[in-house]
Amino acid sequence: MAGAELTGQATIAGPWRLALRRLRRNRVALAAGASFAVLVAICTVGAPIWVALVAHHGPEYENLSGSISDGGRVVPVVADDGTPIGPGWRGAYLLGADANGRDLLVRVLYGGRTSLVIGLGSAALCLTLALSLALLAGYRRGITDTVIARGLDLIWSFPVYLLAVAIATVLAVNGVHLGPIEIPSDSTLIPIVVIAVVYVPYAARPLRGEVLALREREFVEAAIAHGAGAWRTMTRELLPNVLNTALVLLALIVANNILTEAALSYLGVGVALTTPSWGNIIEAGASSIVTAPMLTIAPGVMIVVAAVSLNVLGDGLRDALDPHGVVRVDR
Amino acid sequence: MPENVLDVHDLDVRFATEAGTIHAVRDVSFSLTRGEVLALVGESGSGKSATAMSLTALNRAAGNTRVTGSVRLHGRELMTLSERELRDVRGAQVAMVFQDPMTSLNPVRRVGDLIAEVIRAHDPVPRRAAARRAVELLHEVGIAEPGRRAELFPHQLSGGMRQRVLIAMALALRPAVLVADEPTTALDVTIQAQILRLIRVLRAEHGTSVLLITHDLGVVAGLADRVAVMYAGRIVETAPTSAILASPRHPYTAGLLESIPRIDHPRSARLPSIAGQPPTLQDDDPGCSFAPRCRSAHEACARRPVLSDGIACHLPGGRR
Amino acid sequence: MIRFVVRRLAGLVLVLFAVSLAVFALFNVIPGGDPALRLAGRHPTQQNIAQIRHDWGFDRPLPVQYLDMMDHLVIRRDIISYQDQTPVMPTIETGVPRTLSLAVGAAILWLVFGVTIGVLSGLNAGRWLDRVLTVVALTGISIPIFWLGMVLLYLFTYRYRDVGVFSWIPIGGYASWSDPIEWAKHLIVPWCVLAVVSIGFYARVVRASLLDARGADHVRTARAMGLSRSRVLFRHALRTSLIPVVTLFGLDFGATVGGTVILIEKVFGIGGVGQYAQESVAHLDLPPLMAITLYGAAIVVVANAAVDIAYAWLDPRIRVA
Repeated sequence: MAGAELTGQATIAGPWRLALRRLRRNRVALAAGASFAVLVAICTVGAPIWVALVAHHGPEYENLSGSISDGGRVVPVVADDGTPIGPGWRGAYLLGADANGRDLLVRVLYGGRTSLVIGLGSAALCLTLALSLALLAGYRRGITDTVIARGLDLIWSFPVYLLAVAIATVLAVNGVHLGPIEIPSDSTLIPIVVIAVVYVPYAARPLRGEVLALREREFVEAAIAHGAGAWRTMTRELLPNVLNTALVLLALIVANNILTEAALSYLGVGVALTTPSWGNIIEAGASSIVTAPMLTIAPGVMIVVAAVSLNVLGDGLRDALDPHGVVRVDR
Repeated sequence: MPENVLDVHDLDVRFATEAGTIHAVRDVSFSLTRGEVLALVGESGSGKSATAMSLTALNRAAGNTRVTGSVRLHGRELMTLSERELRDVRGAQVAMVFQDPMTSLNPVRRVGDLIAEVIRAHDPVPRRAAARRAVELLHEVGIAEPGRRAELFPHQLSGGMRQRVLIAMALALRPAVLVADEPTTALDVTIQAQILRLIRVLRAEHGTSVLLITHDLGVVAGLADRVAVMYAGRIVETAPTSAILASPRHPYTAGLLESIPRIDHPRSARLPSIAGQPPTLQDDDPGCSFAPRCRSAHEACARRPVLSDGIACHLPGGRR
Repeated sequence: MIRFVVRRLAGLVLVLFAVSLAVFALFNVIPGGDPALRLAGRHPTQQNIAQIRHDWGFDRPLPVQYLDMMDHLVIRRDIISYQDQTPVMPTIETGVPRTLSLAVGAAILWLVFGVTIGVLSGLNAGRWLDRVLTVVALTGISIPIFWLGMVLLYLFTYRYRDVGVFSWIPIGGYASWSDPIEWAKHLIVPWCVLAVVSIGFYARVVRASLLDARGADHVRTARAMGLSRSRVLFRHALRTSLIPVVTLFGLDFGATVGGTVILIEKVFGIGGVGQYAQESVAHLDLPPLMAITLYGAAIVVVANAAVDIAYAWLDPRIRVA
């Protein structure tokens, strides 16, 4: 009797495995993820290698009076009228120089480090805050939830850029002095914290909704009935069930935060001018866009590449992780 | 022998899903005469709803579904019609009532408008006339104060009332066939009885043929003339209602009947259930789909039984 | 409906109060040194600091300080910029029509194009048009708008100035309403740039929402009753799936008027409220920034209340709640 084969249950894959399978089929999303990984590798590992082997000078090296040989001719890095050298096929100054005679490509690579650190760091901080608030609000419910929800609404009431600019400006005047915590006003931590805080509601509101819905589910009640404490319930029962949403949000928020860093730096309240970042480089080059457009275009293109890859990856992750994305059988 | 209103022949439905192709409906054939109520009975996943959706190709829009076979309404083949031609059939000649009245009505439109819209989609009467007709229809399906109720939004009505609205929409154009997909499942028991009575009355008044899709044998006993039992995408037994309830021949039908609680049985007795799980509909098995769960399965069941004389079983009646 | 509106307006007042407290906390209470020092900006004179201390009464209790701030900002509206000692409110008021011109035009563009692209995408889900539009939408979301503005300005007004189609585009600035053609000429590029991000975002939302609605039971009912394709789409699927767009629009319009214009006005030199905010930031001149933050948040809050009321009108289920 071939009973076992007749009833033969299809192998049921776990949700993560199923998601991975879906993601693997989404070539565009995979390519996007790969391109972001390559971008990170180029800026972290590639930058010092390029400096050591090809460019032979770092991002801060100024060369106002020097000259280089370009196609057999010797040309000044910065011309007498202040116009820097443009892009061309050579090792040093591949993308040209800025007004101070610094190597644009090297600066863009090192600036990428700053921008990526801010994007990733602020996204991690933002999600950590958002997850903690969402779990606490969803688990405790009642007054705790009301206070957290109203607090998020309050932050949400401010236009994001205006709030970021306002906080950054206030902090930029004399840094942060919170008891033992001292952050100087030119620290990279300031944009990280500012960007993270203003986007907390963006991540926390959908997460809170999900936790509240999960809290009503039987398995959570069962865990509590079996004596699971608050910490255990939040980390073992609730957290794993919102991780997929958090993962999708992570990709989108990193993209968003890289853009926000650029905007804040462009307005002069982001990264201190002494550290190159994509936003800073655009801001510095903006005034000379007519004579040296590459100073604006190159860092901007890097931002677009980073943000597009993350947004496409996030979109693919959403399709893969969202159970509603399943082909509907009944319709 | 009255002329058949609806003839379904060798209907076959497959969905492409992530987990592979689901073969939901397999060679299903049945027919409906004028004024007849045929109940399609089975567990969830047995292919009942997929059959209903296929009649007017409502599942054609979902790109992942393939339907083959023949559906004839008054002798006219529906399967080969274009989407535009089908629109004239849907609602006007074959109308449907769905399971969940809570979600099946557009939440942002007034119920009177919804009914009038259906009328005007098939019959170019003036707006006022359609609105008046909608109120009449609401009255006809037993809604008190129909003029006032027509102005309400779906969420302002109870579940039973909403199902009446859906039935009014379905009957607006006096269709030849009403397909009722679990019309009472989402309702309270007392409301269920009212809705079934309503369907019965309307059938008697207008001679509408009804294809009733349900898993509830109580509903079957109250309304159907004939029953077709579905298992794993196939019809395994079909017979007049009284015959099938009194003496089921297919072991699956027998199991279904045994598993409903009965007033005339001692309460202490343990309610029997059919052991095992229905098969996943991914693979085509060569034998009888029910064999793995069947008490009377034997060697012959490795071959698939064909439906003849209203039953698809090698051992009708079984070895009890 | 009326009860709903009244309750919503009462909520509005409470939120406005909370917003003003938050502004007060941000600019006056956040720990770290002398608030007078912070208000005075990066290069204060002793005289400045002394005057600020006196004006704002930093030695007085916090509730008094709060009332003082609100008095200066909202009632007497006589707050002074410490950068150049000019009154703040008149400068903001001259900027308002410019900022609104920019934001309203952009909003119309992004609504029209965002919804159209979203519907096209949703109707062709999975086909090549959907894929192309998806990539376009995601790219739109990923471009820093100030950078796009700079690059377009460079291309149109310098690099390809000689190409006929671009020659009429002004280098920036703003022309008043009184000459509508000049007005539109000056704003067309900023409008497009400001709309790009939102077009991508709205297209994604409308697409997802339409796909959801197409699978909804009531849409199935509409199809089963033989309604025409366009009726099913517009009267049944789209009507319900545009509801989230209304919500978003309220938020985004407020956020644009009160925030994103900072970036665009700087690029195009439009001289509205956003540019004023940006210049204040550059000088670390806090009083104007404080006023703009308060009024900007107020605009968002009011826009949200307006949206909630519109929402209740669109979706009768909300009215009873």
